[in-house]
Amino acid sequence: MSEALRKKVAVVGAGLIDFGEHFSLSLEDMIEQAYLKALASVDKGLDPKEIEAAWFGTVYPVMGNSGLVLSHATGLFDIPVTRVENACATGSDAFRQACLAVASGVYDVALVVGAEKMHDEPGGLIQRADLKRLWLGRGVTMPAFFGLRATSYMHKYEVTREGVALVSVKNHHNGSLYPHAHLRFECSLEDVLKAPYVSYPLGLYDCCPITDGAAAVIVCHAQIARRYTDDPVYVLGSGLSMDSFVRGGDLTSFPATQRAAHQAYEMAGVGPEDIDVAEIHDCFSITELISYEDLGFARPGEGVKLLEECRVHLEGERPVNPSGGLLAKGHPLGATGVAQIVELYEQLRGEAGPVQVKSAEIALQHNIGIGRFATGSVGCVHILGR
Amino acid sequence: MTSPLSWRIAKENAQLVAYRCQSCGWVSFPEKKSVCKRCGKAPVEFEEFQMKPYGKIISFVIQHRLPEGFQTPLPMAVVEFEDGARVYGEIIECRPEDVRVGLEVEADLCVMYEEESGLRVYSYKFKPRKGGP
Repeated sequence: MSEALRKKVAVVGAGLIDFGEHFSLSLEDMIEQAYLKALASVDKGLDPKEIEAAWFGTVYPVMGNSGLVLSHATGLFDIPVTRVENACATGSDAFRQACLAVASGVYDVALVVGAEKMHDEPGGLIQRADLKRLWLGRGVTMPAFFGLRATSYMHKYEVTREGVALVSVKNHHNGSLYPHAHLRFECSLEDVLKAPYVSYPLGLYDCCPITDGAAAVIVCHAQIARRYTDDPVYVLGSGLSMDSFVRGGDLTSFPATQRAAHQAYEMAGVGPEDIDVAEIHDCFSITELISYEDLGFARPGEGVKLLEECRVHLEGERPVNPSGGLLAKGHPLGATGVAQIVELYEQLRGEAGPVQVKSAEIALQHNIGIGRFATGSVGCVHILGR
Repeated sequence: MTSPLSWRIAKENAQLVAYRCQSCGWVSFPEKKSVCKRCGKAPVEFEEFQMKPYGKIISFVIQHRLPEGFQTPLPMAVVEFEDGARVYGEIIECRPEDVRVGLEVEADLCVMYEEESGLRVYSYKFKPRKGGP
């Protein structure tokens, strides 16, 4: 059962639009562009008529953005199109559902698009009606949710704000090099520490920006992958799990990530030591630090060491977030997970340009989501390989 | 936030009424449940009980950027009641710099906010516990 997915599905096309503030583009415009980039990226070409099913990941609004949005954006009306929403792990879950469908043998070729329009609301997403009183009137925001993790982590492991800020410094450096990143500038340790607080202990540069974006990938059954490319990337494992902080435990880990990682590692038959490059969910600096530990890259409380010893930097033994991560590349919710797959597809094929890491054979993608009045979390992990 | 959403948990929120799983002891608050979120037993009996208003801060933030209607800086915490339930809550009657992990607090019933309709939602905020336990 656990091996049912391993090497059954290949990624043969991947593309994303430059992330940023796209006031001139609608959600459908962004989807169209990402779709065309994914089509154009297929080495031996792929006719849209070969796409048998599509999955569309977007978070907002709660109702309205059905699969029909993807159909109108791409012209794909004759096939099943399913919209997926699973908090900020939406894009990853859309990818996962397409992979499961292809692995099952029901479809040979499927499209996955993740997209989010974050800039069409004058007050930002936080002012939307469903968040208006900030989760039952208690003043809980996303920066607060993760700030609470940061306070717990710093308290338990005696880590300073400087330690946490090293994540931001690394990822902004990578983002300054990555052509599709929203924020393309360096950020020094001093910049991070002196920035205004958003939700103490997190300051401005500990937080990802508000970003529009879309990303698309094309997956097919491994048996026909060479019809489209001589250099496919295989899906080795996939995991998804849920959790809630009301169930207990301390706030210095995400059990949903731990369980999703366990599922994905087991399915792929690899361990954390085998991962050459990773795209990890760093919506806030602390999230990446905790995730090193949840994914098995570091022991609990020792995540900062990876940063101090530059082991997760571009030139390190296991680069994390060469794209700049959510902190620099941006976090258009539904697009994020799909964009991470695009980035790792390029890394594994040696096409990542200025942020290309050395000899990557196995890659890990990790995406989490927060929902249900900020009490629950979703963790999703994929492992890709040559 | 809709009025029915507040109304359905009004008793629990205003009176600190909680429910204990008879299988594993996990406390559900404010929802009345027939399945347990911790042990997963379904169905399972839950026993209604009155929580004591005391707890401690297990983590906190100081909110500096919030939409209109909130005053900043606003200390906000995850509080674990002595009786086990874990909740978010504003910290009042305490300077932001005095808020810390482990601080003993007590729930104070107040008007948490007014909905657009003018409906007042009564619930708890937390203040430092006088005299300690």
